[in-house]
Amino acid sequence: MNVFTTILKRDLVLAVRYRAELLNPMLFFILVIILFQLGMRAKPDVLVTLAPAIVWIAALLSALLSLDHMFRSDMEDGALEQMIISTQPTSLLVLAKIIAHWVITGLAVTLVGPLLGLMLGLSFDATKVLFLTLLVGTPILSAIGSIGVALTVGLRRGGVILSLLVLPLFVPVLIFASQTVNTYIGGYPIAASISILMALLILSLSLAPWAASAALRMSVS
Amino acid sequence: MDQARLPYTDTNILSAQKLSSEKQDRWLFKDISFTIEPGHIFHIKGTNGSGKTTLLRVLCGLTIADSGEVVWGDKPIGRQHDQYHTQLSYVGHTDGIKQDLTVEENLRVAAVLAQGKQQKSTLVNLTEILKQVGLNNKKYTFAHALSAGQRRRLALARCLLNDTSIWILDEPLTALDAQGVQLVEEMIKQHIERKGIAIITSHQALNIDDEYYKALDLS
Repeated sequence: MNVFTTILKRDLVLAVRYRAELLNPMLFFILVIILFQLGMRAKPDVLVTLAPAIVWIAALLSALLSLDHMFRSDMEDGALEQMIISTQPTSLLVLAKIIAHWVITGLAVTLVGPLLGLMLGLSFDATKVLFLTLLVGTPILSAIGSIGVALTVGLRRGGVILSLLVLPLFVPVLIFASQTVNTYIGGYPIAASISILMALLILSLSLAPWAASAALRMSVS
Repeated sequence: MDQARLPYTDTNILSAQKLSSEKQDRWLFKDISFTIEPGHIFHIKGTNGSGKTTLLRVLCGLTIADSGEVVWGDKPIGRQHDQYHTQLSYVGHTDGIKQDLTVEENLRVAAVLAQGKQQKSTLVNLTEILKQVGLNNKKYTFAHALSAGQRRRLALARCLLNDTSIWILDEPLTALDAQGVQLVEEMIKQHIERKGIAIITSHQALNIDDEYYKALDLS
């Protein structure tokens, strides 16, 4: 466990010292939503039905934007090699990096997302549901993303392949999360779709570290 | 004999059997075999691009050779990864140092990662290790503010965290001043005195007794 907390702390300290990594996905997230609103000039009631999807698409893209950082710098400066020959379980180290990535990008999106939802005209109660979906959904993005990054980090320009690999896997999260909010606005119960998101979260957090660590061993070689 | 000079507890013969590796349709090395007994230094020489780093990575188990095997003791390292890595310290061509962490933080992370490796018989003290490599006064300096030679010293300090019997060092002498070179030579000498194995690449000659010295030229 000591290893887990050390790597988690290391990544968070690095993110705080190198603020661009911290602020860039956040700014991107806010800007996309503001631009949407500026560009659409939709009627308020139309905007409300679109709001959950807009927030979620922005969350997805900002996650994608920051994913590459997860292993890239460790690959370049050789820290990854040291992790692999360290005799500590690589999957545990990967889990720490997934959680760190979520704290750096996902958590901020989770906290700001509902405010932007309010701005898009969602009711206060609906933003609470939006907050819940973001809280459960954004860690899934970090987890699934880790597999994609681990597979492409050995390539010099893995960016495009990363998007192609990861975006299709993000789609179920997008669908279930934005549908949850819409279902709530429609006045139906949301327990089922929240449960599905939870299931996705548990599944991805328990499987992604293994898949990603296997992929990292390949990428490093 | 002081504690630090006691022989390592787990030493074994390391051998390469018909290793070959190719890169972009060109053989970097083909069918090379060698044996390194405990208490020896193995110096891999070669021109730039002759595959020295690749060979070191194969010996670490980071890269898989296109054919051939690296055997430690009686088993190929591929079948005893974890066991082999408990005895291995590797300082690569990229040094694994985070620029935005201080010297001490870097070493602390390395120490935690090295927990599973062969533990030192005495308690390790990071300050002591930093003193040994001459970086004690730089403890709280960010790694990006270090000179290339100082960074090299910090990377090499990782070898002192544990009692690992195999050191694989890629160009350990690069960017080091005369004092630094002497320090590395002294570290390696003590290491082979304790029946460890040191595998290094270097363009510089090393001041090591012929008896314990083997070389391989890849070019």
